[in-house]
Amino acid sequence: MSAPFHEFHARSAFSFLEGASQPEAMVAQAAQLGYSAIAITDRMGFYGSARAHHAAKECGIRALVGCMLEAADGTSFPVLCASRDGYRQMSRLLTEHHLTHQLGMDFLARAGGLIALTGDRDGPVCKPLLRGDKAAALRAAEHLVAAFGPGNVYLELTRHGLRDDGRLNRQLIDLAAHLRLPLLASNAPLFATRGERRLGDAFTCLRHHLPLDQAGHLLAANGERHLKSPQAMAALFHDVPEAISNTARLSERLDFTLENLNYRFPDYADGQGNPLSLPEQATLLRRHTYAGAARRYPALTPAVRQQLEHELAMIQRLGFPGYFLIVHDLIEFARGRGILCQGRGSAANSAVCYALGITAVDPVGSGLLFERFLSENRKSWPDIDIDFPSGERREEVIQYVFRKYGTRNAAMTANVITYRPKSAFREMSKVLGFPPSVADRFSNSPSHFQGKEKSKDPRSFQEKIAHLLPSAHPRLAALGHLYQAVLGMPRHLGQHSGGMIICDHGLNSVVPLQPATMAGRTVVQWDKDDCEDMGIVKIDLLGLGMLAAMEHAIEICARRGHPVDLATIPKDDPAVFALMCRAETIGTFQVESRAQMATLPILRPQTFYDVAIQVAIIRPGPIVGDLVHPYLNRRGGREKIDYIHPACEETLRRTLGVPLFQEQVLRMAMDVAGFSGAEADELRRAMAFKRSDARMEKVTANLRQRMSERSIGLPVQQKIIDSIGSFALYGFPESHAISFALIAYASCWLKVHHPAEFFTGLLNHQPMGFYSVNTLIQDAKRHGLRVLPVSCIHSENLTSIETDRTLRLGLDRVKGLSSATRERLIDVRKEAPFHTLEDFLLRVRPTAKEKRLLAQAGALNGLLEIDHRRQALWQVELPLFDDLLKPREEDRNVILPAMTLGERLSADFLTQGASTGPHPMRLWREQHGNRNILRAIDLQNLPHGIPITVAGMAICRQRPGTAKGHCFISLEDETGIANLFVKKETFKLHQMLIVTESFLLAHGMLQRSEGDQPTVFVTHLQPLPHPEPEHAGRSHDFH
Amino acid sequence: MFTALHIRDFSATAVLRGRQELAGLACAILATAQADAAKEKLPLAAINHTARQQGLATGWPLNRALVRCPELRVLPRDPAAETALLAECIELAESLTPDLEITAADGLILDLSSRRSQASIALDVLDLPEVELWHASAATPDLAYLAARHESTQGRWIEPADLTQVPLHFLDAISHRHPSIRLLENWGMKTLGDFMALPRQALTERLGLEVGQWHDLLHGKFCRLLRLHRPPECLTQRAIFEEGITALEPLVFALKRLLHTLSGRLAARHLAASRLDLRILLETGEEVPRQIRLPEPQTTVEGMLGPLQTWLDALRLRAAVSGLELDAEATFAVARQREWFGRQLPQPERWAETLAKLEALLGPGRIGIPVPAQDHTPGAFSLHPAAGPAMVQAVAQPLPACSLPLHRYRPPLEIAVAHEVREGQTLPLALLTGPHPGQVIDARGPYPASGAWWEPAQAWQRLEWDVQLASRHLLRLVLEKPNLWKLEGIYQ
Repeated sequence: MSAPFHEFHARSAFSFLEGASQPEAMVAQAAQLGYSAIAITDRMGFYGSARAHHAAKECGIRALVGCMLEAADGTSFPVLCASRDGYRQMSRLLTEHHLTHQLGMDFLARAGGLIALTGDRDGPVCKPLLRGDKAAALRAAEHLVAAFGPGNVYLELTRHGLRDDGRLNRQLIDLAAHLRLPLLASNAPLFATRGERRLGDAFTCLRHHLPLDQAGHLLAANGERHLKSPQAMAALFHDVPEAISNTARLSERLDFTLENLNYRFPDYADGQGNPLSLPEQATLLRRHTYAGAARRYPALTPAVRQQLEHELAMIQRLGFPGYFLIVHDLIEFARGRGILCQGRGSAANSAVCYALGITAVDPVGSGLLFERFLSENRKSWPDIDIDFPSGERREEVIQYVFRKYGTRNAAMTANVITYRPKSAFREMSKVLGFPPSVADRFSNSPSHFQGKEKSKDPRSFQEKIAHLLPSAHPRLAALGHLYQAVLGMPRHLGQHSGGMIICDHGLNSVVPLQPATMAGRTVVQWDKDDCEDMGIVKIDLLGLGMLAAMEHAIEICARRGHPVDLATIPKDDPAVFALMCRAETIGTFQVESRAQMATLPILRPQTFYDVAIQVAIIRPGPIVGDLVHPYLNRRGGREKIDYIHPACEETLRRTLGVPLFQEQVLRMAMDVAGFSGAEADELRRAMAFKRSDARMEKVTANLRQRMSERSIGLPVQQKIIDSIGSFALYGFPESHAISFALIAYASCWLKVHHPAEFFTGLLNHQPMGFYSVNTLIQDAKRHGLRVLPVSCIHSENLTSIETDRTLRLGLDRVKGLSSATRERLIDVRKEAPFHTLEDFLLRVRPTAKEKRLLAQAGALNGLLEIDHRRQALWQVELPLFDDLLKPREEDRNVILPAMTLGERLSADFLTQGASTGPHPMRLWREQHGNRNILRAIDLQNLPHGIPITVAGMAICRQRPGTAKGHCFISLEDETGIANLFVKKETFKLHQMLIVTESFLLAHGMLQRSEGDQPTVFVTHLQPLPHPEPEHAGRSHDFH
Repeated sequence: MFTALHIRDFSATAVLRGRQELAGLACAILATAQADAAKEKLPLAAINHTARQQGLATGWPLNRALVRCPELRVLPRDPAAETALLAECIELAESLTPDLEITAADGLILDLSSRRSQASIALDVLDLPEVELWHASAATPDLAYLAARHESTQGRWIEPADLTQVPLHFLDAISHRHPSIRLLENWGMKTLGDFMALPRQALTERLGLEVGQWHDLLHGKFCRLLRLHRPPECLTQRAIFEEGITALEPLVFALKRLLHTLSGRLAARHLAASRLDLRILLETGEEVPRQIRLPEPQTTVEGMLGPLQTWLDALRLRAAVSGLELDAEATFAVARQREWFGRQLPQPERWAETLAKLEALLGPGRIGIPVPAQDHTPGAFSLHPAAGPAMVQAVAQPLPACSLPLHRYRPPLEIAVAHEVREGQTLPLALLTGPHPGQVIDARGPYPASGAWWEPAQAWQRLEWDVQLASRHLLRLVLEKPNLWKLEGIYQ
């Protein structure tokens, strides 16, 4: 039996481009080797510590906390947190380093609770010794002792099988004796197992921007820097037994783990900034709730009052009043600034949230389950996500949080950017010396060839890239190995789209902060899942482009004298449902995609709840689970309702026996398998987006076992497991669906009743949604609006409304016209309108490129002496002499011919990516069309089964993974959109044509499916003859 | 009078000439040097006749071309074939006049001003096999050049009015893709005629003098001088002896004569020889070639003769010498001032002579400055050239992991070693064979090492020990899998 050994200097892959194993893998390997504790010391942060802590709890060992500190001279050494105070000091130190680029270690000795090791060959002591500079090594060791205090510095010995290990170790032992420092054995591992050395070498190359062939001595001499068993370490250091035994002593000294993090969500403070006590907060919450309820509910019914009381009591028992007050404060701030906002997610299940104005769904009226949001079985904090208009308005709210709580008390959660197939292949092929063109071709391969799933079989990868590299290529095996190894490894930290965490007693003491890429923001070193695991409460302040567009539309409505309050619009407007049933939903929220538009005429929503189902039904989850058609069939009476198991009947009655919502899945687990609330919550967390497969597998196994114990038949078990599995990727809670349905309904309502304002808001917040600006303009025209082109005389910066049915495109639509020029143009025009081109050019002073752009876009038409675009193009090239020289009379003569309609269209697409002119297909049809080539509108009146030919501009090509290789294309023409269905075999035959040609001519049979929607079942495709490629708009492709 | 020649689809023609297996197939060259690096959206740089018949045109993106013609073959460019084709074209043009300009890789302009009467006859016979060679004549070189590039105007005498229907983008050929061409297109100009119709003064005011010059050029008002092509003078010399030479002295004498001539030619062009290629022709018909790279570019006979004579001294031939052939690679002479304190070779020719002697003894490729390889490969080194300016530069050495010098056996000696495996670790006990057999009394190691794992043919893995024998020798032992022991060296 050897002496116990603990590793205190292990780095994970969160020491970016250095460590080659995930922290979970390091901990799991340590546990397997018999360690009772391991410290993950990532470079300049606790990046991997939260994950290591979670994994260590699973494995039953301790994950000690530390990090590698970098000194100014480029050396680095591990520092371990022995106590909570030490951790807090170190966290603050790291924060200051990241935010101010200063590493002040002077106060560490005073702080205590921190223990330093002298590090490996890159450490401040070994590095001079390797140069033969013993005096510098002594100085460095003394400096560490001075900084961390006597007894808090260990002299680290490493033995990696290098020839000079012996000499180095002797010198270190001498130094330790001289300074009376304890020795500590370590293998300073960079990876869990020997085999991961290859990825470690690849990371070294990436760090130094070199291929493997040129990395030379930068690479490891051998693969010894892995976690070694205590026996192996004892054998390695048999001549220095105290170095091994000291690891046990040090382990005893380190009693801090992240279990003792002691994060606390801030208490709500009064107007003077003094935090309120829990009873005070509860009282305040009650007051706000009832004040809000009085506004929300015309009459406070007993049911509402009972629900509010129930919720308030539970919120107080769980100690969460402060949380609700803080979120309410954010909402009030937004409302005060006129910022549209709405809570989404499970918060919509809460009547308190509804009363406080956090959500817009009445849970009492909708029969939503509050326990899905908050439950006494579940000790975790509530999760409230709030949607704000994307862009500057959301930033106002985020900056309010930073201002209110201080830069050291608030931060965004991080988003760990991992290696995905494209980046993995690009980086690894670069390291192996493959030319960039190979990675380019891999990137350009269809996504289903890129191996999105991390395959355990390297042969499958080699088969997948057979078309890129010959199978006999000597480096193919290495590429396959590295590609598989690096997939999923952390690459760098980004920031989460909206997750904010706050603290009132120093967030920088809880987790190190660092600057985000966006100015004025900071991020913590953990992602949202890590924060959740650590009990850190996050509030999601998310940006939604549609909210921004709707906010703009509402603002225009108010300005034009017919204000709109979305909270009061009728939820049963037949015109809105009629619009949906006609699938005229281009530009609206959630129900505008090709799949949604194809389903709308089948589902034919007649109530608001139907819209919620419509929002939820077209999701990868339900599609994978093969659940769309059963619901639609049952709704249409073509299929018998099946509740899977009698115990599920009550839960599934609202959705005709088809589990569509996450709440239903959880309820099924509770009803059928007898899951407790906590177990159901674990199932919910496992199903949460991006969580690990292992967690899901564990929960599934438990579910299966519990169902077997209850004698549930295997077929039923399988049905339930399949339902859950399909939700694991994109589970959609019912409350969330209802929240989204509200926005979807409101956007449709605006489109029906205020189309000019709706399209103006939409055009001013592009890019967003599913369709290009050109398609939106075409749709606006089909809805009776007139869209006028950009004009330097009339256009504002943004698209604006001229009359009830007329829009004027804004100057921002001209690609390449700088914002400074646009502002100048508007400013000088306010002073006096432009008379001549010369007057315009002299006052606005656009650049040569901008002059041409404006002329080509037709924005200068209408100025005196400018009859058409070409004349403007000719005249803008004339140099300006201010008042010195007057232009000659003959210069004003029209020399160039006016643009044809087709040329104007090309110029519009070139300068703006869209045109207010006729659809390109109308021009084509005038010149080349014939009666056999049908328009989209013609399909409406044709019977099922007749052979047809259609032509159009491809605006959407989709080949979702759930479509079994079949492809969907939307062809737009001057009358509307024709939907094409291309079978897998036909797609393969014409793949190149489909993905490259902007204009297509499709032959096939007309099919009329459910909802009487015409679809062209394509049998043959060809490029449109005599196309004008420059007339093509942007296509939304996913293939 | 100027005549221009243009090879249509030059790069495709160069690749396809003589490749019968591709006859009748649609082929294209992409606008990049590497066809295997082709992206789907790269434009076609050149296509063959079959591809054109299928409706393709140059400039199309590859993906669009593949839609139209799925069987299109994409071929890589062949620079050597292009050079050969251009050389043939030049040779053909030189049969008409020595005054010609290589205007582009696919076009020449010939000045036939002095041969006006014969020109029309000679142009009829301009032909290259398997090449679509177009020509046109005009009063100015650029008019001829533009006309030769378009099908409708090639093969005849051109006046400015004949160019009016030529597409505007043909101006790219003389304007080198000037941005103003795109502007002219935006103006709605489609043909050169449209452009020519613009008022020159207004045009120049707007787009500058250069565009005005194109206008003049198209109206035949501008005639420039050609940048005449002059073929490089050959430095190759050959001496054939009436009687075979069997002694060294007359051979050196003959070689000196050649070197004198070479020296004179080089001096006349302000050049120097950096490499000499000597070919000794024997009476048996055999040839003995020798290539010598000079340490510094030389122009003197002595400087060039020394290394050659050293080699000739050591040479033993099986037959009398019937001739000599000498060629040289010319470069610019090094113009450098000697430094007072810099370490330089005072007489580089003597250094070269010494190196030549050594190389004569050791064989080619075995002379140089050994430098340890910058990786972990055991014993690896590379030879830096001993000649040239780099030879005096100090080579940076990493600090050795072991302070004792190691005398390496190259290659390492395979030996038998008695060993045992204890707790999974192999321990050498005694060397049974090799130059230093004996019992191991002390051992340090093992030192595991491995590398080049990404290249199966070069991957290596080994365990090393430093052992002390009873004979007090310190040795380095190596174990390579499977069970192959080697004696790598002995510590001094």
